Amino acid sequence: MLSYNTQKKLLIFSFLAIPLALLITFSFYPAVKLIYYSFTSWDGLSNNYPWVGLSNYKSIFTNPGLFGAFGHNFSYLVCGIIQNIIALYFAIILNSKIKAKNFFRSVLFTPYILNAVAIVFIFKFIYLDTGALNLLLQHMGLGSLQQDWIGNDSIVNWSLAFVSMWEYFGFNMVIYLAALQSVPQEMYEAAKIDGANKWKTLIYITIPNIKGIIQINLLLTISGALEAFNIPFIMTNASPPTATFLTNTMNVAFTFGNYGLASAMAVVLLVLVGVVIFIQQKLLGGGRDVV
Amino acid sequence: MKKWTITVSTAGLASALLLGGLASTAVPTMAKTKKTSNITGTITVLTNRTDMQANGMLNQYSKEFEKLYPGTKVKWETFVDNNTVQVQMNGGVYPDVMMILPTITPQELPNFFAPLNNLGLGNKLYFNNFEAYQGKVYGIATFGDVNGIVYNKLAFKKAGIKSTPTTLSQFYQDCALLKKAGITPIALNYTDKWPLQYWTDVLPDLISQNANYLNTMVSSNTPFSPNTPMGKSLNVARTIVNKGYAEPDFKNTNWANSKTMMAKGKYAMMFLGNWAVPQVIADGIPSKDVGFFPFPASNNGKNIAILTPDWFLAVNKHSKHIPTAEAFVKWEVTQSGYANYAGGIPTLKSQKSGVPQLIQFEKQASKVIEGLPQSAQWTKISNGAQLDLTGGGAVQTVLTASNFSSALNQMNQAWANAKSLIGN
Repeated sequence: MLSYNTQKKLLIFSFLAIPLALLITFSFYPAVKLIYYSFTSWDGLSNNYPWVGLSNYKSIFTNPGLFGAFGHNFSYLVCGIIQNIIALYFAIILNSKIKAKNFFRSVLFTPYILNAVAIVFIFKFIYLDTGALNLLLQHMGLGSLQQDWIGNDSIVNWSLAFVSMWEYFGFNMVIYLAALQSVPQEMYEAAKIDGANKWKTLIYITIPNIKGIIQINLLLTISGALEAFNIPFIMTNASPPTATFLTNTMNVAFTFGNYGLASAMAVVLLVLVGVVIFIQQKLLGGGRDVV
Repeated sequence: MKKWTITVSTAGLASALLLGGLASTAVPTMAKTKKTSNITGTITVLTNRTDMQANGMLNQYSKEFEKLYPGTKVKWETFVDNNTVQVQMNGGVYPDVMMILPTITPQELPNFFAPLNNLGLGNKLYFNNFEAYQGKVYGIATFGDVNGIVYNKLAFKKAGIKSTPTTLSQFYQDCALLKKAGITPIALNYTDKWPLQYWTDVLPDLISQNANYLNTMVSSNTPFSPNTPMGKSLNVARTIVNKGYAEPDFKNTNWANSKTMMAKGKYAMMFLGNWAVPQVIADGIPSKDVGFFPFPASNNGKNIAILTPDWFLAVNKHSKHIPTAEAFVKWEVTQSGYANYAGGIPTLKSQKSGVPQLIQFEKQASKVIEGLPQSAQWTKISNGAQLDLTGGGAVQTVLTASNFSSALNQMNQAWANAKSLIGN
């Protein structure tokens, strides 16, 4: 007969074993391997892993073709921040007493549910030189604003980042909505009695109460911007003016067969996202642990 | 020339997990093969032709083979993505008959595949020494391809062009005529990237009239200078864009759409391979209105063509039914009629192509020479320099660069750096 304590331990262990095994197999083991590969010049197929030390990391920072791609991520970052502002704006409107609230909520959330690849294809057609956007501009008498939205290298990244904004802002909005609904109504009532207007309520009550959620949303947005991948990959096949750091990583691995260097790039991206999170916590963090 | 490969599927994968997840245990676990000459048992065959699975051609092929060799069974497996197959091979379990992935180096061939020397084909085939190592042949090409310009004859007629161009200056003149007639002279398919590969991996050979030209690049530190065949070739592509001979919005293109536009006569030409002819025809234009001619790379009108292999078939060395797999490879290459179906040139030298466009092409080419594989050194340097010369990436870079000669300079620099790192 097992003692109660042993039984307890056995139970805990057996419940944890499966998720832990899965976690280790599919998350930790590949991560450790990834770091190991990043110090080798493995070609992705052979059985030898020539150790090259830090040279992969050196070449990432010395080759502007690789690291410089972060310049293209900048537009995703800017659009990501705008996306959060719009999302918060709509969340506040939809949290007030307006008609057909649920209808608008679901309409605004729809882009996020749509198939991400399909969205990119839709926009590929919208952005054609004879596509919907240019036709619309023409019919509105704004023909002078017509552009090659993809063909013009100085605006292509903004065109792509807009797609990301359009797709993900519904998701941000839903999170903001949930947070807004948890703000106690008494606070608003008290503020109203004290004579606060809408703007002051927003600044002094709403935003401080959902600060943690704003942080999470920004975190998701910024790491998403650094990891921008599927939109340039599908829309432009990650052509040189639109290549991001992650599409370059793919290229290095699968076109140039340098899995070692690509692994190092993945590690650099991981570290970079960590650093950005840390800075953001330092700047915005008010002692509340949210991440 | 893996033009059928479709690589759209990887969209949502986090590259970190993907890279880390490639198992490193390539320990074959299959049973030792018995040396029997009996052609029997079930084999799996890997193919890239998802379209032939859809239209039932693959089933028809397996039925024909099974009828010829009773007791055998052929199962098809299709793939759209090299990487998946690579992971399978890494794990040691992969189809009995498969294609040789472009990433596999000759030294690695014996690790994965069985030698095919005893099929009795040898010199009767083109490309017999492409996928060989230490005197043993590991791969047999499904068919041969020639690169050239696929064109819409009606579009040429509409622009008043009587015969196809045979020199580069004639080519530009015809482009101007087509443009005047409101037709896009030549579609580059920039966005799809792979259709651009021929400007770097075929045209330089054609310009230099040397099938081995690319391999000679390894001895130069400046193989991209404007006066080299590579530089000249990139200049042709660049000129097409600068003069507005490419698609109007050439950076937002779509391969499937381009074929339709060509079938409709809105695009006149595309620099691809013979395999593109049936695809354009499939988009709704009669075969008699589609033509195919050698790229007018010369100044004297004598244009060569280089015969290059399509996918190579190989036999899994861990297969339980090696003789069956070997028999299948032999049958597919010599008897199945696949080359004609695919619109290619039969690998068996004694067979002639029955495709009218290829007959026209062979008439117009001053000679057709057999291509040579790119040397390991060439691949190493271009990979090290991160110049995508076989996938169209380098052409994209050149077409987007603000300054042509500085783009060439940068490529020269990258090449020279990689060369000094790798050594000779």
